[in-house]
Amino acid sequence: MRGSPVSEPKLGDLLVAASSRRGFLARVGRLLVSVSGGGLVAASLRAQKADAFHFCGHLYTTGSCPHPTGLPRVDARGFPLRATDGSPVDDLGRLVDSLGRPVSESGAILRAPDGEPLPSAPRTRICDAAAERFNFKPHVDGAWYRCCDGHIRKLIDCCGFVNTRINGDSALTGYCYAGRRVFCVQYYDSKIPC
Amino acid sequence: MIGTVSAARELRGRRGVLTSAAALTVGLVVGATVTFAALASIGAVLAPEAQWPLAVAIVCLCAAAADLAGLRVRPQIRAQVPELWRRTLPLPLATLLYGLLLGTGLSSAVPAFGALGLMLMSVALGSLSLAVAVGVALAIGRALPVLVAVAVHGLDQLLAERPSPLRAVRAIGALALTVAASGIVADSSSASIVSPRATDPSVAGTDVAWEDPARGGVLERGGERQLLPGHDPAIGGQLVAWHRGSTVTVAARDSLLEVFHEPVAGVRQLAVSDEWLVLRQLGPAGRTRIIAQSIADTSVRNVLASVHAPTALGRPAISGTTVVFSGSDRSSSWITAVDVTGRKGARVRESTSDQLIGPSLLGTTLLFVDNGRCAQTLRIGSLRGKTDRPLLTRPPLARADSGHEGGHTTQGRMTPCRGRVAGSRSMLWTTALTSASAYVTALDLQRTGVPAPSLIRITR
Repeated sequence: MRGSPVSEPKLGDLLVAASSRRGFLARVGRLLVSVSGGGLVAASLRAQKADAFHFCGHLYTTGSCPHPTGLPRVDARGFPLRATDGSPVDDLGRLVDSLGRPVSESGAILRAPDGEPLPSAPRTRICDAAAERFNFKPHVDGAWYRCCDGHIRKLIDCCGFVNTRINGDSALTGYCYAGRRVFCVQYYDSKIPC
Repeated sequence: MIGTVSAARELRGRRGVLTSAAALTVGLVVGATVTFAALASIGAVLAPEAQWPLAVAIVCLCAAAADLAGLRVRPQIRAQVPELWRRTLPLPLATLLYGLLLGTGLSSAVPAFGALGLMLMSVALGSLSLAVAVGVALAIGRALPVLVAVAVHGLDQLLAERPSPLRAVRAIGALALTVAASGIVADSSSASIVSPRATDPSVAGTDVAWEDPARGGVLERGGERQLLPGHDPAIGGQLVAWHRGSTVTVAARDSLLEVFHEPVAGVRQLAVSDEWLVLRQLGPAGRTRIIAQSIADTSVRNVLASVHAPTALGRPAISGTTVVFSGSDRSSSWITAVDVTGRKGARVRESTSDQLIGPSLLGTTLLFVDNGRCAQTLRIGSLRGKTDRPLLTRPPLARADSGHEGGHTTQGRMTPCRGRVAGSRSMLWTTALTSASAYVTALDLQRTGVPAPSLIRITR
């Protein structure tokens, strides 16, 4: 190590240090520090895995896009699904069929007293709904994938030219492109096993 | 009862006590559920007048006051449960039967006036789900002191000597009843049920008409109700209209003498004024039309709107020459106001998130239902205005989850509404408006198939 201002310790010095009382204390101290530090790291890793984010596969701290039933589960086109079972819901949180008509838990069409189906309510992509509510133009740019509950989950950023994310603090670049930043996050559960 | 359950300990040990206690609890719950469900069924059959819940709520308040004062409960049923059972039957079976009898609340001493008040309330409200919930709560409330006394040795003797804890329980029950009854009184002061089986209200002067799904059109005048010879009645000006199948009839409102009748294929709901009849017509291939027809010259028919599924148009209402109706498609919901000629029209309310339905009109005052994510609201406001005033607010139609997955933090979660949201089975539906009152249909979506509608009147 040419030009180094500190000379390397010689083997004899190391032996002396190892065998001296001061050297022993130093080694014990380092052991304690490494044990406690390692514990902290392990704890933080455990926390990341289980507790740091509010749903499986999510990275960092950006909040969910507003969703009719809470957890921001969407279908392949970005429309809201009920997180518990993947049933489609409208903007009121009601279960709906493929035509947007409200249905019961058993899938029967809900009807008015005259027998006609109850009218549909709007069903909006949750990124679009967030954009309208918070006044920005929505973009769905990139995504990342994780294994959650035995299936591949696609995690999708709802992006826009925003400085502030839904949490109220500074927005991050995340998986957004062309200068856009992450406003909120959503996810799509595929049927691909993992 | 404490002695009976405790006796199992001596006969069969701890396991015997648990079995007997569980049997007693099951018996109480089943007995109370059956009793209160029966009371609610009686209420549903009797279809009590709108004033009943208010009257019973006042009775409940008196019962709560009596419980708070610790007055002796009168009247009392002195009959005791058969003592022979505990000696002749297996103890778990005996406690189960005792629970069934005691759960009815009618086979032994009633410990509080509140229990009688709850029974009356179940009849007055006529709601099966509510009555079952009350019955289960009452049964658990009766079982808990027994279970605690069995678990804590000597507690029954202590309670017998110093009854203040039981008095405290009675007082807590009285306070809870006071809160519930006060809520009904407060609600009744502004909202009351006109009919428990009615939908699509229509008003003119002091007359009210509606559709009874089981019987057909009903006209209420001066407190008297008469059946009309058709369905989906509408009243306005001096006229009344209904349809029987595809035959639409317009008649004088006072005498019901026919003005004219005509065939209209696919006719559904109607609206009428002295000059115009407005029809909602379903056609082939999912087409819906709103048509205005002149009363004076029935050959004059103006199509005010025509859409195809999945776009839909709702029931029309008319005031003067302005017709209002709701519309919806997959992306938005709106209320249209249009002149009967169909030339001047505009969406006066529109939403890409809420469902706007059931509009009615009185002059330039608009009444409609706004079904939002976090509440259903009956709103009133100016036809061309931007702001509306809520007249009635109900819980939303769907529940929400916690916003985060199990085992994960709550940081970053977004729930659609503040607090935990429990979805309502009751949906606000069609409306009618007078200068003094607003009417709205509430659909009970709990039943499968066609929902049960009830008509509510709210003081403006």
